[in-house]
Amino acid sequence: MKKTGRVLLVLLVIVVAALLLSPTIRWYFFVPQTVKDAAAGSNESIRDYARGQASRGVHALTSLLREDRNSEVPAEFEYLIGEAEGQIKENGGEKPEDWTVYSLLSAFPTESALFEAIESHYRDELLDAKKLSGNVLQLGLDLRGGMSVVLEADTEAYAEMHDGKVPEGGELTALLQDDIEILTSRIDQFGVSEPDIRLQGSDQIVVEVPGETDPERVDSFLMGRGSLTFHLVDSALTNRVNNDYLDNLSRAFDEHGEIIVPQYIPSGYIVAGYYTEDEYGIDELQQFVVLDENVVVDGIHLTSARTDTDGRTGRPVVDFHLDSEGAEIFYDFTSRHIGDQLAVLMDGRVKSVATINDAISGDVQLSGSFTDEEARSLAVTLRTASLPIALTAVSEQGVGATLGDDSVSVAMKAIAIGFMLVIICMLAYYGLGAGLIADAALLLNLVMMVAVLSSLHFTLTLSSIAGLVLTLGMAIDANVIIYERIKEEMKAGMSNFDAVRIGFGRAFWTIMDSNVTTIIAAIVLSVFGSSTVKGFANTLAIGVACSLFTSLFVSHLLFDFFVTEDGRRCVKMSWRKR
Amino acid sequence: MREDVLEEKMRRPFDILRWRYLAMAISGLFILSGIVLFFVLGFNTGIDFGSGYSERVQIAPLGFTAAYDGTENAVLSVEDDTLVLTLRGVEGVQSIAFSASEYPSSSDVAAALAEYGVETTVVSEQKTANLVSGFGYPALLSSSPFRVNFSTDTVDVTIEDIREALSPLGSVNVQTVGEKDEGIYQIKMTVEENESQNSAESKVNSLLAATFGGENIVVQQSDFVGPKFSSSLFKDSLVGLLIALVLILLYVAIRFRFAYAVSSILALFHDVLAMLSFILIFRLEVSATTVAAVLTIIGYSINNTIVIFDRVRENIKADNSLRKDVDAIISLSVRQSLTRTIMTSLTTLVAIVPLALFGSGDIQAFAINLTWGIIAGAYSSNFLAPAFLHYFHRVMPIDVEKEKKDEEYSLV
Repeated sequence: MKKTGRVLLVLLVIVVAALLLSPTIRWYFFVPQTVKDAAAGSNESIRDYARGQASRGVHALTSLLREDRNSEVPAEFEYLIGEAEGQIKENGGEKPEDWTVYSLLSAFPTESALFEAIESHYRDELLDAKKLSGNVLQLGLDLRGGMSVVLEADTEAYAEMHDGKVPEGGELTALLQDDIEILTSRIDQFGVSEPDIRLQGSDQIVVEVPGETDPERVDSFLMGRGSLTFHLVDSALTNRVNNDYLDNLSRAFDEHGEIIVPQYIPSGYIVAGYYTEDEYGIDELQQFVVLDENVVVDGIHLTSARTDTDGRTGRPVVDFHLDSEGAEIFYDFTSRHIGDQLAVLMDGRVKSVATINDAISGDVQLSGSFTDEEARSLAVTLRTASLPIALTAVSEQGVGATLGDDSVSVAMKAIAIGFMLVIICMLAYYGLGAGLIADAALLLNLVMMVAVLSSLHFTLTLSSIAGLVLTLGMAIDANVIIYERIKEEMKAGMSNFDAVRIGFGRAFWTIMDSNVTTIIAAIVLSVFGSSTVKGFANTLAIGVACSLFTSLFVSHLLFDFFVTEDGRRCVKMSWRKR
Repeated sequence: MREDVLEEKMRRPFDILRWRYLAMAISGLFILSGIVLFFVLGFNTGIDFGSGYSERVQIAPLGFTAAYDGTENAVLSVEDDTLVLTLRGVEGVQSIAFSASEYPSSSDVAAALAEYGVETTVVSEQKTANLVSGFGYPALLSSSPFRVNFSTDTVDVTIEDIREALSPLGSVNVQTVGEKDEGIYQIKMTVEENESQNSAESKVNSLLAATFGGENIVVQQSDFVGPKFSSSLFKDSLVGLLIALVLILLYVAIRFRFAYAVSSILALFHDVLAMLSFILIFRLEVSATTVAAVLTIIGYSINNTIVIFDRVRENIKADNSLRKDVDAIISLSVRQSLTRTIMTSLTTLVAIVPLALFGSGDIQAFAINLTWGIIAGAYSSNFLAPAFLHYFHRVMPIDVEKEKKDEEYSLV
C-alpha cells in the first residue's frame, strides 16, 4: 500500500472513532444536568414536564406583554423567534424588523399555538436527550449505581391460575429462582448491563440495574407475561360502541381507567381499546373494538418473532412464525373467516386490526400501530419465556455504586495515575522518538476502544475496565516486541531503515500468534460466559483487535514517516547517544 | 543466518533450564498448600457467590421519643411529611394529623402530641418535613419510648464513615441509596453458617451504634439475600473456559507444534492455580471482581508464553549449528525475550500498582489479585513453560526437515 493510502486509512479510522464517540462526549460534557434529570423520567413525566414548562412560558410571556409590550425577547425564549418566523410564513404577514415580546406573540395566531410551540421545544429537547442517553457509554452498577427495584411474588395471581394453591416455602423459592433466571436473560440480553439480581427473604427479588430510575424500565423487564392473542372482531358491535363512546370518553371509563362494558354487549364478547402512540410514545386511544372472547391462537404457539419494515408503508412490522399446531388452527380459522376482521390483543390492548384476505398458515406478518421499539420488545418478550410466577414491583429507588462511591472515585484517580506512569515509562525507556510513537499508538488504541464500546451501547463495569487494562498492556507489549526486534537488528549492524523493516516483519507473527490466542479465549468466553465474564471478554476482544491495528499498522506508518531509506532521518530508540 | 547466536551463548552461559527443578518445586509447594487450604478452609466467598445478609439503614438524628400508657390504643404512622396519631378507644377511633406545614419542627409536633396524652421527650430540633418513614411504622405506642427520627438535609455522614464503622466485620459491601444527603445506605455482608438474621443484624447495628449513636439509626429493611451468581451461570462460564482452552491448544498446535501447545496450556493452568492458591492463602474474598482478575491473568499469561515460544520456534528454524541442542535454544530464546518480558511486566504493573496501593474494597482486592497474577504469569512463562517445553520436546522430538523457513510478514 502507498503511504498516502495508509495515511488516509488511519485518518478515516480516527474520524469514525470521533463520530462514534461524539454522543458520549456530548452527553457527559454538553447536556445540562437539569435536562439529564428531566430526560431520565418516563415519557409520561416528560410530557408533564414539557406541558408544565409551556404553561409557565405562556404565563411569563403574557405578563411581560402586559408590563412592557416593547421589551426584548428574554434569552430563554429566543428559540421562539424561529418558530414565529415559520408561523408568519405559513399565515402570511410581514416579518417585523425587531423582535419584541409583542411582535413575537402576535406572530402566533392563538395562545394554544404558542403553547404548542413551547411544548414541542421542550419535548424535542428531552426526547432527544433521552435518545442520546441510550447511545452513550454508560457506567455500570458497580461504578456508578443505578436503580434498585424490589419485586414481590404475586402469590394470589398464581393461586388463581393453579386452583387456589398458594405456593409456600421451598416451592415459592424454587419458582422465584426460575423467575430470576428469566429476568437475568431479559435484562442482560447482550451481557453488557451486568445487573445484580438476588432473592431477598423468601418471597422477594431485588433487581439492581445501571441507569436512571425510570418506572418504564421496570415495566419493560416485567413486561408482558407473553400475553398476545388473536381474536375475531365483531364489526357491528364495534361500530355501535364507538358511536356511543368516542365523543364522550368520560362515560366509557370508570374511575380506575377500566372500560365500562355497555349493557347491550352479549356475554362472550369483550371490549378493548385500539391504541396508537403519540409523540411521547404514550399509548393514545383511537377507538374501541369489540372482540369475540374466544382466543383464535394464543401467543404460546409462536416459535419465532422478528422485526422487519413494510416495504410499501415503511412502518415496522413483526413477522411471526407459528408452530405446527398453531399453524393448523390458524389456517383452519382463517379459511373459514375470509373477509372478517382479526385483531391482535397485546396485554389487553388491541395493537392491530386486519382483514383476513386469504387463509394463513404458519407465517404471519403483523402490521399495525407498532413503533420499532415496541416491535422489538414484543419480539423479545415472545422469545423469552413468561415468568413462572408473576411479580409486582414493591419499591423502586436510586442506589449508589455497589463498589461504593468513595472507592470508585479513588480507583478512577489511581487508574489515571497508572496510565500516566505507563506513558512516562515508555518515554523514559525508549526516548522521545520511539517512546512518543508507542504512546500515540496507545492513546489511539484507547480512543478506538472507547468509541467501539460506546457505539455498541456497552455498560462499562469494573470487569470491562479489567479488559481495558489488559488490552492496553497488550498494546504496549506489541510495541515493546517490535522495538526490541528493531534494536536487535540495529545491534546486528543493520541500517536503520532495514532494521525497522525487518523488525516489524519478524514481530508480526509473534504479535499475531499471541493476540489471536487471546482473541480466541475472549470470543469463547463472550459466547459462554455469564454477565461479568461477558463484559470482560467483549472488551478484551474489541481491544485486542484495535491493538493489532494500532501496533502493526499505525506504529509502522509513523516509523516509515520518520525513517528514510537514505538514513538521513531516523527515530531514536532510547535516550542513549549512539 | 544468525551467526551471532552461538557466540552469544558462549559469552553468557546463563541457563534458565538449570532452575527448572527449583521452579517446579516452589510452584508445586505453593499450589499444594492452596489445595490443602481449599479442602480445609475453602474459599472465602463474598456476597456475590454466597447468601448473605442485607440491611438498608438510615442515619437520621432522633427528634423526640414518644411513650404512651393511657387506656386507649395509640398508633403512630407517617404519611409523606405528616405524622398521624390514631387513638382507638371505647368511644371510637380518632385520627389526628400533624402536618409539616402546621407543625414545622419536631418540638412543635412533640408538644402537640403531648396534648393527647403522649409523653414526649424532645432530643433535637428537626424539620417535620424530614420525617423518616419506613420500618417500624405504624407503631403501637407503649410505655417504653418510641423513637421518631428525622433525616438531615446535609451530608453529615459519608459512605467512608459507614465503611470505617463496619470495618471490624471484615469485607462489607456498602452502597448509597437515594440522594446522598438522605444518609441511607445499603449494607451487604456474608454471614457465618447457621448465623441467624437477628445476630447478623445486631452485629451490624451495634457497630453502627458505637459510631453514630444507637438512637440515630433507623433500620429500613433487613433480610437474607441469595447469591448474585447462580451456580448454573458459573457452570456455563467454566464450560466456556474449558472450550477456550481447547481452542487455544488447537491453535497453538497448528501454528507451532503440539509440544508447545501442551506446555503453554500447562503454564496457564499453573497461573490460574497459583492465583487461586494466593487467594486461599491470604484469605482474600472471592467476588465478581476475582473472576475478572483470573480471566485477565489467563489472557496475559498465554500472551507472555506465546511470545517466548515464538522466539524458540524462530531460533530452531534459523540456526543450524544449534538445531540439535534444543535446550540451548530454549534458554537462549528466554534470554532474548528478557528485555521485552521485563518491560511489558513493568509497564503493566506500573498501571495496576497504584490501584492496589490506593484503592479500597473490592477494587483494591482486584488490583492485588492482578499484581500477583502478573508476577506469577511472568514467572511461569520464563521458568516453567520453557521447562515443560524441554520435557515435551524429548517426548516429541522435532523433525528438522519438516520445519518451514522462518517467517516474516508485514501488513504494509
